[in-house]
Amino acid sequence: MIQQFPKTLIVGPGPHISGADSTSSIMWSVVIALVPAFIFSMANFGWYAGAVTITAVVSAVATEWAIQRMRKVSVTITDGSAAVTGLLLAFTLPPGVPLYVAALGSVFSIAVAKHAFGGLGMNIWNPALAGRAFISAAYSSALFMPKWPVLSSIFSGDIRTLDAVTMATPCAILQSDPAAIFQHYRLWDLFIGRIPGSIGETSALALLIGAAFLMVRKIIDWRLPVAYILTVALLVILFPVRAADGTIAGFWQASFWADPVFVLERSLAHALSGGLVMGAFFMATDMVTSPITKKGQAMFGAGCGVLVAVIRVYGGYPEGVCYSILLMNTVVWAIDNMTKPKFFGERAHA
Amino acid sequence: MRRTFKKGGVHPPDMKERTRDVPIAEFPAPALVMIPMAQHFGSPALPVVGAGDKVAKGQLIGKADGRMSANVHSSVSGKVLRLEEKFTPQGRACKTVVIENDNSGIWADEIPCGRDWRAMSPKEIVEAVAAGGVVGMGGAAFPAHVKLEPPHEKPIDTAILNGVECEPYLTIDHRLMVERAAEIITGLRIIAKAVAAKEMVVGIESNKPEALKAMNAAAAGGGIRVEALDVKYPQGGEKQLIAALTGREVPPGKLPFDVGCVVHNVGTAWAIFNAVAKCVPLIERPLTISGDAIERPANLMVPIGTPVGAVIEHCGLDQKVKKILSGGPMMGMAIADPTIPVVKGMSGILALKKVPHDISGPCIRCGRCIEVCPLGGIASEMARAIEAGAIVDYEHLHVFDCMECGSCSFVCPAGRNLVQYVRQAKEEASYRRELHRKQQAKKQI
Amino acid sequence: MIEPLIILGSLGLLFGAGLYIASRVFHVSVDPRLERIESALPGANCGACGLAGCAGFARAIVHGSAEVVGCIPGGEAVSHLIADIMGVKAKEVDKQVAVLHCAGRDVADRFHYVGMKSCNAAALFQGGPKSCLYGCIRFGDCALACPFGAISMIDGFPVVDEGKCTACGKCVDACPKDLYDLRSLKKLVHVACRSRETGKATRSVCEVGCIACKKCETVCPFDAVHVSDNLAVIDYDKCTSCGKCVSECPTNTIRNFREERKAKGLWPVKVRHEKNV
Repeated sequence: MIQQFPKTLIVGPGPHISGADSTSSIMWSVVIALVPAFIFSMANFGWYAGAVTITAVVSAVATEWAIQRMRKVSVTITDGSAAVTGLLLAFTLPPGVPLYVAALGSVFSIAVAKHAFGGLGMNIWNPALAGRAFISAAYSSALFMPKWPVLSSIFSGDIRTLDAVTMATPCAILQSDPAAIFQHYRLWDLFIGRIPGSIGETSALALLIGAAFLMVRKIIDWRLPVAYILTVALLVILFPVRAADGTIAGFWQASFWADPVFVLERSLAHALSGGLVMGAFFMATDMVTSPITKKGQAMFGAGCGVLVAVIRVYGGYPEGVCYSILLMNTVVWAIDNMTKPKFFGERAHA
Repeated sequence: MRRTFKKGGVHPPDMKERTRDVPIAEFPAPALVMIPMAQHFGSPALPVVGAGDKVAKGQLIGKADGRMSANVHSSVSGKVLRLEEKFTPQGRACKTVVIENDNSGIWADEIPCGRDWRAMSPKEIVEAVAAGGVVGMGGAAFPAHVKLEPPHEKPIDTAILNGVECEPYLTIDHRLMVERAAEIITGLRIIAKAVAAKEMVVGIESNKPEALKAMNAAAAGGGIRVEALDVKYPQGGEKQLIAALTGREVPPGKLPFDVGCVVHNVGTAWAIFNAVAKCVPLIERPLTISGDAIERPANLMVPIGTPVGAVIEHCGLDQKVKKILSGGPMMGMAIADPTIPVVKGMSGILALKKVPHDISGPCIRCGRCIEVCPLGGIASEMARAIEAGAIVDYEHLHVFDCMECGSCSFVCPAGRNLVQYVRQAKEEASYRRELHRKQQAKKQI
Repeated sequence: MIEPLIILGSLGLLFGAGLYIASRVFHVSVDPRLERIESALPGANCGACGLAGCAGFARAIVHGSAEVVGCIPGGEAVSHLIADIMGVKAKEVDKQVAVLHCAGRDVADRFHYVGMKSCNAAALFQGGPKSCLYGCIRFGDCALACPFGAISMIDGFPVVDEGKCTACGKCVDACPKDLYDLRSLKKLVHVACRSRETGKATRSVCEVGCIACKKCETVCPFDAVHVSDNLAVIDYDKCTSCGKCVSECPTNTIRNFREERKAKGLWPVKVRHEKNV
């Protein structure tokens, strides 16, 4: 007589134990990491910023549900990936944007940028940024304003009414008149985020708290964001600019280094302004649309950095994070090809 | 800093506490044993007994079919009831000799013997190992005599013993090293003599201090190096162990011979000692029986051919069990039939209540499979190519060089069955080769 | 306004001329029959002819190393077209279809299988999850393999649409349990079971499996059915599709395809006459 086994035994391929992380735990971790920035966005821009964010998230999740039903695939709205997309999209929008614009952007992100390419894991471009690019094309007046609002009364005010003052964003000043940046903003304000800008991007501090959490959880790697931000910070020093009087100022001139502290502070201001911190830690690191190897991710980050610096210093837009990442997304396949790991023992071959 | 292999690897939970200090106990031979002819890598053995034959313990019942094959011996004395097709733990069916145990325990002629291995030539040693049907006991069950006969143009300088036991739960190599260190060390000397290796190294992970102590004591003053290695899975992989101990990398498609090494598991060394010095063929093997659904975890010496159900009953099974495994949780095979027999390559039987959920979502390109692959493979791309049937890509993606250690599936957040994809691709390739061979043969007629 | 027209126009002319010269310089002369044969073939590249795609088959015919009737999916019609092109006589083609030798829709699982939803993958785990080791695993590798959409999984069980089936043999290769055979459409009686288990063992897991009762063997007036190794096997050289064994079979394992094929207009098989050239 030998032991009989229950009929409910599972038979399948190994391994029969697994590591701690799952797709949904990764996605929800990203959501958690964005909570500080979300709270700060309402402190900075009032309750309406929160309404925009929630609209975008709800719209993204609803679109995911509808499309998955339509495609007759299993519905995976609980894995958090659509929520991340909605959240990130909202964070790239101005705080006073009409709610329907945020909702439509989410629909585009999920339906076109994600599911038209085959759904999770198959999309080439970051869905949130593709959504933002869609809005900037379709509702450009909502996105490109000479003056951006910032709220004086924390949490309670309505950004669409008059208790908000409007002023040019740090990025716009850095492009038009870099020498004057510190007449408008202090570095500390740029770090804390009490500045005008898109909903989630202003506070480097809140974003870095979330990013630190993701790095401890080993969900994002430091190489990509660090390569990205350092490249921007370095290139804005190295790129020569033409001053108003037609002369070209560059790092090789002694006069350029007359005030070295200013040069470094300006470079730091570039790193802290606009969507760079958010883009570097939360957008460019999107697993699906970034290279798969660490080395490739560093290359990707540096490439994004070059594009941001070029757009910011020479381009027509004051801000280049969105397009830099979208453009680099396009060449991820090439970076992946270049950075294939060496196979075990192959060197011994050659 | 202790040594380990450089590239990739994972750290699954150890889970060895429950059986680490349980001495190996003798498991009484059951009333019926079922001995498969295909327990090893290579062609199945050819049965040399028929229904009704009387057999003695240790008697040859299956003869090796060619060089890449292994002899099979009866693990009990008794009568052959029948030959039937039965599944082995590897999942395939093969000819199996069913023997009724008469409990007399009578050994076949000239077993056991006492002979001086020092007086034997390398050729005689290889013959004795082949006669004893010894195969790799770490899991792959590669015929041991093949590994003792390196081609002439490839001189061997280092004989390595694998005492790593990197699979969670399993403690059988550990117990064997603690309890039979002298026999294992002698086995290593026999191996070194057969392949004319000057250096002898034993690799043991540092989570086995007792085994390290016992092996150091047994090896003292004999020119044998016992190395403590950092804990990392899959250090027990042949290529990883060679890299950790010697820094040499075995190129894809090549064997340890090609870098002057030969690697045997400590269990295999013990079996080689038995076959060479005592003429005792491989008819029983030590097993770890563990897992959260096993009530009395144990290390047992079990006759080959014992149904796993009998062994599990001995240790007590919680009926809430979800999975029963032959081997470790990383590379072991799930089984569901209690009459599946214990085979030479089985290192343990695990019964688990907690198993991962069966989620298998799309790849999110997180790159973790690449980070952990000890061979530098790109599992995500392999799976994608295999899914698409892009056979042309298999070669440069190194699909056929994958050793199926399971590190990629272990870390995959999408729960993809990456190893199964690879196994399926290999399976399909061998099927196609077979088909092609048949077509060629047909054309010639 | 005029400049772009000139620039674009001259660019077009330049490239057009380049293409023309290239096509002339690198022209490869081919046997005109090759092109005609290729256009006559179905173009599915199914490989049933044993060659690399339709182009490979066409080359082989022109070369003389393949038979004009070699295209199985194309059937008679294509064979005649090719025969015309090659100026030879085509033999009559016996239209074949894939027949599934299992009807075990209600066979229970022995264990819960997780992993790739593929019969071939599952079969490597102790023969697969089904209680009957000889029967259909129901993951549909055959339906996936069929290049003509002739096999569909209906309620999780494969069903062959014999009208669409071209007998390319992909399903025969794909099935790990070897449940498909290619049979002449004229043969109407088939055994829907492959189980070599004893009658008792088969009965315990499947209601429609062959229990090796030998009633078919007794009743067959043409000595065409024999039970060997616990399974009824039909010798199609002798079978006349009379259907006596079908009515005698206690488990409904032997089935008659007559009514089904009649309903679809596939039976009686229209015999086309050989075409002389």
